[in-house]
Amino acid sequence: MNIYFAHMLVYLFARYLHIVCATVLVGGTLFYEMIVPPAIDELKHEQQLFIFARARWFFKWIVWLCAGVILVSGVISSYSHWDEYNRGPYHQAVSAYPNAGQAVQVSLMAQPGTWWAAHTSCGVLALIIAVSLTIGKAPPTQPIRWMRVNLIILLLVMFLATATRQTRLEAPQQMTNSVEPPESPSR
Amino acid sequence: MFISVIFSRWLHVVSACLAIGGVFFIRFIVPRALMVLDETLQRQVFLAVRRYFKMVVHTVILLLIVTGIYNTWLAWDKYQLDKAVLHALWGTHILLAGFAFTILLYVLAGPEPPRSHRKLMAVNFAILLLAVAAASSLKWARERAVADHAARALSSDNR
Repeated sequence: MNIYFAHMLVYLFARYLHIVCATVLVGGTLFYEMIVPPAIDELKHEQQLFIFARARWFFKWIVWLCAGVILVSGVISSYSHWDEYNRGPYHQAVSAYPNAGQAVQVSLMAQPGTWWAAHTSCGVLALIIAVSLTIGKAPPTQPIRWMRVNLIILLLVMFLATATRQTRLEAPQQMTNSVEPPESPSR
Repeated sequence: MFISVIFSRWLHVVSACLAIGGVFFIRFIVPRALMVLDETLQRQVFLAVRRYFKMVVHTVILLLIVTGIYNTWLAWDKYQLDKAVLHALWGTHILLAGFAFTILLYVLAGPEPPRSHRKLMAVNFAILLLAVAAASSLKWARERAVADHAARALSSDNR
């Protein structure tokens, strides 16, 4: 098999798994925190606790599996785009432009690496909270509050992922736009 | 423009998360969690969960359609770069999403679920996963088409 093709296949599959696991994790957390509590509101307190405990037990395996897959697929995706994330604040203008080779400074917000670092750190934090909420026989104190906090972090993580992708795609274009045209040579 | 692109994409992904995660939870987690209750109570709680999920689903479908149209409008020029592949993937994504919405609306319509609601929800989960696969491949193919186009433009400029 062609190496390029194999690499693309692995990258695509990792990307797909990353998205699917993230959707199940975020959607499941939203469901667990926003739909189940009002739906079982009329039950007795013991019955509510029973349902929460059983849902937590079944959801635990999903959370652990998704967390593992997200980490592995995230590493693969980061490796594929590492060159783009690892660029410093200075870039060389692309060869098609009149100032080809000139060093151009790119702002911190326009660097994909900044967004990638924010996405990764917040994502790892969200995964740690999600896994720690499912460890042990009994949930921690105030689990719903923790789930709400985690939900906000997860939504932020998704925003950062979108911003990382957008800056990664727009970085070459901004690099070209930020190069000033050369002065016309005096004769 | 930068913010609106990111925001619409983010909204699209969050809505997809709600739809996929919700379908997974209501089909695979909720029935197992309710097994501790007697049959009447099980049904009562399931119907309550379904009622709340229905409200979420209607909003999610609307958001997915609106943000999907906006995202397509933004990327439409790029879809012309490699029509055969990009239009095939885009069409597949739309078709699968259409199927998934139809099944969701059918299963959640009315006060009682249809008889085959469990099977339909499981099928719908598979369709939603396929829709994500089509979207993911579409994005990859679009980025590759744009990169190929830029490389071709550079080489023709250099000549």
